[in-house]
Amino acid sequence: MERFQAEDRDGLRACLEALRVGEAGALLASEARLLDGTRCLRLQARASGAGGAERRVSGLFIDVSATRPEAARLTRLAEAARVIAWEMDLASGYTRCSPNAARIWGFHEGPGSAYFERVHPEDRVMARPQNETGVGDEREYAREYRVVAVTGEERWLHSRGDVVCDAQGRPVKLLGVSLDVTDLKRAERAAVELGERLERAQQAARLGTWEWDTLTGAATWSDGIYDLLGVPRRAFAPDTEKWKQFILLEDLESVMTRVGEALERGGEFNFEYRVRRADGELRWVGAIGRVDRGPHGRGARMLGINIDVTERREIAEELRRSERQFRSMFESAAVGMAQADTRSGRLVAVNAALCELSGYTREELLGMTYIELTHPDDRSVSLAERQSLLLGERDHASYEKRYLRKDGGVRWVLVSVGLVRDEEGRPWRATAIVTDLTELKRSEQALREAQERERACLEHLPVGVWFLNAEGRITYGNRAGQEIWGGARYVGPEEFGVYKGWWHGTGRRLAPEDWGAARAVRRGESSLNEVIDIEAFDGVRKTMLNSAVPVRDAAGAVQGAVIFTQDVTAWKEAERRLRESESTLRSFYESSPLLMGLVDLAADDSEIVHVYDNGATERLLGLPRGGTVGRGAREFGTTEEVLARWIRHYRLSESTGQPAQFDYCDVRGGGGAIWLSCVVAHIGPSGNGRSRFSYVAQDVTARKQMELELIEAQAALRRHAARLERTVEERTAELRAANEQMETFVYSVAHDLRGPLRAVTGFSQLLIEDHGARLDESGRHMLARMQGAAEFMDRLVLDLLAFGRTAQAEMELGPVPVARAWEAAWFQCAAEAERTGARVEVVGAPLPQVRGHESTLGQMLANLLGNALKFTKPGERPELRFRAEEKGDRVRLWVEDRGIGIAPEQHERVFRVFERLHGARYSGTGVGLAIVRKGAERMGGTVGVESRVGEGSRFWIELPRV
Amino acid sequence: MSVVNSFRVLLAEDNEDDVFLMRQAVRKAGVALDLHAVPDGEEALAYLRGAGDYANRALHPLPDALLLDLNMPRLNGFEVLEILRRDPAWNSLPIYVLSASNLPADMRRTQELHANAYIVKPIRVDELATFAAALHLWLGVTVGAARATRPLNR
Repeated sequence: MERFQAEDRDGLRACLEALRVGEAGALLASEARLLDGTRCLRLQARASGAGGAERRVSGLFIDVSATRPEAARLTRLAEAARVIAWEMDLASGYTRCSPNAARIWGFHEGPGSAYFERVHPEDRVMARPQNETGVGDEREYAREYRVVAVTGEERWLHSRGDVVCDAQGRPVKLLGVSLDVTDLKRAERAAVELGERLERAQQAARLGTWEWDTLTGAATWSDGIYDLLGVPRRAFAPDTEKWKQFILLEDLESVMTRVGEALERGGEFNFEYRVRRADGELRWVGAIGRVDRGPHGRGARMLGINIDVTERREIAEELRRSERQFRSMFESAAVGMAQADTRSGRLVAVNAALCELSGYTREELLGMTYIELTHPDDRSVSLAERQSLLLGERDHASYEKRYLRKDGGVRWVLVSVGLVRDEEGRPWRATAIVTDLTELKRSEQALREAQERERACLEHLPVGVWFLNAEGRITYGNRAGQEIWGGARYVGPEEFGVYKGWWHGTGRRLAPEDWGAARAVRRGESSLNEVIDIEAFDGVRKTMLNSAVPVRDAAGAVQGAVIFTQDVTAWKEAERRLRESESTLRSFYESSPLLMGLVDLAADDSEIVHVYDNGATERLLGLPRGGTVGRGAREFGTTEEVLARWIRHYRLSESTGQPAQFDYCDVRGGGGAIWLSCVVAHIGPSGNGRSRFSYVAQDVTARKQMELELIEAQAALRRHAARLERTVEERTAELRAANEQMETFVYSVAHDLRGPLRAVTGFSQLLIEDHGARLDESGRHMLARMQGAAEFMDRLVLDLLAFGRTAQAEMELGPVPVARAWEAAWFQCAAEAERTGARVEVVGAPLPQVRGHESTLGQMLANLLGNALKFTKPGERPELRFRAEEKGDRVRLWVEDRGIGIAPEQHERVFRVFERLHGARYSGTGVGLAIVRKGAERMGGTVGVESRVGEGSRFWIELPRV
Repeated sequence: MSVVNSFRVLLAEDNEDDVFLMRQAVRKAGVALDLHAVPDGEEALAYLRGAGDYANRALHPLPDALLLDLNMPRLNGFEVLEILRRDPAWNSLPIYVLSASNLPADMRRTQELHANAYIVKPIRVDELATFAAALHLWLGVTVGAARATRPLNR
């Protein structure tokens, strides 16, 4: 390499370098002069193999000194002029460039068409020589075109060439030079751009263009910049440092940062900052521009426009502020606000008031449509309004509707809807302002209700109320009024004749102008409670109280009238009845036989003054009729004692509030003393401290006499009773004595009467037994008869004693075991039973207890038992049965035999004393069954017999069970 | 046996017929009852106390039992009962009331005065004989046993 001249080495090296790193198969050539300058060698080499270590470059040097004698000079010339010499074979397009091309453009000539591939695509067609086909008359080649360097950089080339012809005069080559005019072109374009910007800047106020070359630090700007800064134009040369001095200190750092960023990043920039103008005013400046990078990435050019954006910023600030205000207003507004999408109806923005109003949260509302929020009954209204808005009929609508709150509550709202349209004028958003009308509605309703109440009041007023207007026409009649009249006729005064009325007193018919209503309207006259008989529209006749009052305005002019009517038919009727009743009562009082009247009693009881009397005093007491009125009681001969009595009872009724009653004897009448039964009652105070009382007095003389007689009779009765009592005592004592005598008698009978009988029987027996042999049969028979008679008499005495005892003796009743009574009975009869060989059966052990007297019951059973043993059929042994039958709370004791029986008609007789059915055959005293019956009676029991002749008897005793 | 079974019975009875009939009944019964009759209550007490003529016990020996009529002059049977039952000397003497009365009041009263038994006088002599036999039998059981323990010649 050292063998070549120094200025050629780079070319050679570049060629080799290109081979080393270039495409495989590339053929490159480079010429270099030897150091001695004698020869020029041409290196032609080809690259092969892949890149890196595998790259092989093979080539050869050709001595071209002979063929290119001026080559070296040419090269040097080109080198100096920064001109690239070139040679183009027209047939092949092969172009050879001078070695400086690599340095200037970054590449060497390529093979054939390769050169034009370097040309900018837009310029290729233009760059090709037209006569390359060998045909054409172009003798000179001149073009300006861009080539794209290996680095991608565009370079402008100005190429000029001459056609070289061969011996036959046919063009074969172009031989020319290319000048790199990139810088020139760039400067030229910049100038054009700058001019345009300047012009624009000058056209618009507060706009300045500027340019800053970072490489050179050179800055240019238009006059607008001076205007922006508020300094005279061209007061100083454009200078970035000068410019920085105007930037507000706070903004400087950020401006420099933005500039640095723009330079580093390249492309367009846009930022704003504040400047302090020379006059001290603060202005906002917007810087917009582009960074153009310098060649080879070194340095850059900033082109920019500075615009005064103060106003815009202020507007924007204003807008922001107003937006903030609007938003805060939107949020804090007392009225509900919402924005809805017109297509879906969905709410896209809502404020707090709407949330409050609807009871939904913001999140809930934003998912809803405004229709959902609307009360179902009002949805059709909402939809109609929406339709009207969407059809473009209106842009605003206001209407009232109800919202359905989340909690189910209902709110009346006034909705003002405005439509917001997009750029194409299509409906986009609906904004709504929602005012809560609930309170208003409530008050409206309250007002309405109040009016209705008022009207209802009128309607329910029991008094008829009629309104008349200024012309006297009836405009209103309430229910009561219409009831009175059986309807209403809304007529003027000239037609008042349809209302038929007669003056109550005279019966004269009312002319239309007679009506109070007509007088009130026409003459401003008030009339009160005129009584008028009317005939209602339904034909019913009534009596009416009519009042008419004119209604005047502030100036006193009659504006109408109010009429009050009252149906007093019933009152009038009642009045009539009352009058009748009063007279009836009066006549009733005055025809009454009772003494009736009213008196006033002085507070100190000093006097009784008659206020009214019904005239009975005249009849009863001979006092002057009616003449008592206004006179004191003492004037009629009332004694002080009687007076005191009256007063005492008046006061009594006053203090108890009850009528007081008393009787007294009045001796004032001519017919002797009469008894009066009086009832007085306190009525009330009657003035002057006096109290008024009513009195009613009745002549009870007859009753009193009867009472006296009764008392006398009672006394007589008492005397009689006393006598009777004494008699009873006497009788009782006699009876007791008799009883005692009886007892003595019985004792004597028991003890003494039987003694002689015993003697008779005893001696008779002994006589028969001991001396019977000395008597004949007849004598013995008579002795036996004597003995038998005495025995019978003894039995009779014993039985009578027993009966007497049963009937009379004191008998203490108590529980008696039947078994024991039966044993006692059996004990008495056992001997007889044994003698007769009787068969005795006791059924139903254990026997119950009865209430009775044990020894008496024993005797009774013994008597029955004895009968059963006795009254047997001839030749038969007695068969008997004893049993107890329980019948509820009583016990029936049966003694049954199979004996001769008793005829039914005799059943009652057998129980009588001394009643005997049989003769000597069946001996008996006739007392036994009487004792049974008496005993049962004494013990609260009964006896009976069931029997038939020949079939036996069944006697029973029924006693209370224990 | 017959000696041992002889009993002395004091009969207080005012009715001589009854005394006669009683003796006939004892005779008819054929029992060894030694009857000593007194006509009233005072006499009965005198006999028992050995007063007057009755002091001679050979003639008027102490009885084994007293047959007492109720209806008697001077002292009736009730009074005699009452006096004897209050006297420790006689309150163990068997006293059988023999009365014509069948009044329960009389029976109850003698029972209350601690009579040993009450017998209504039978109207027939044979019945009275039956009674005498029964009395003898009874005294044999009650008095005889006691006397067997005593010396015969007391």
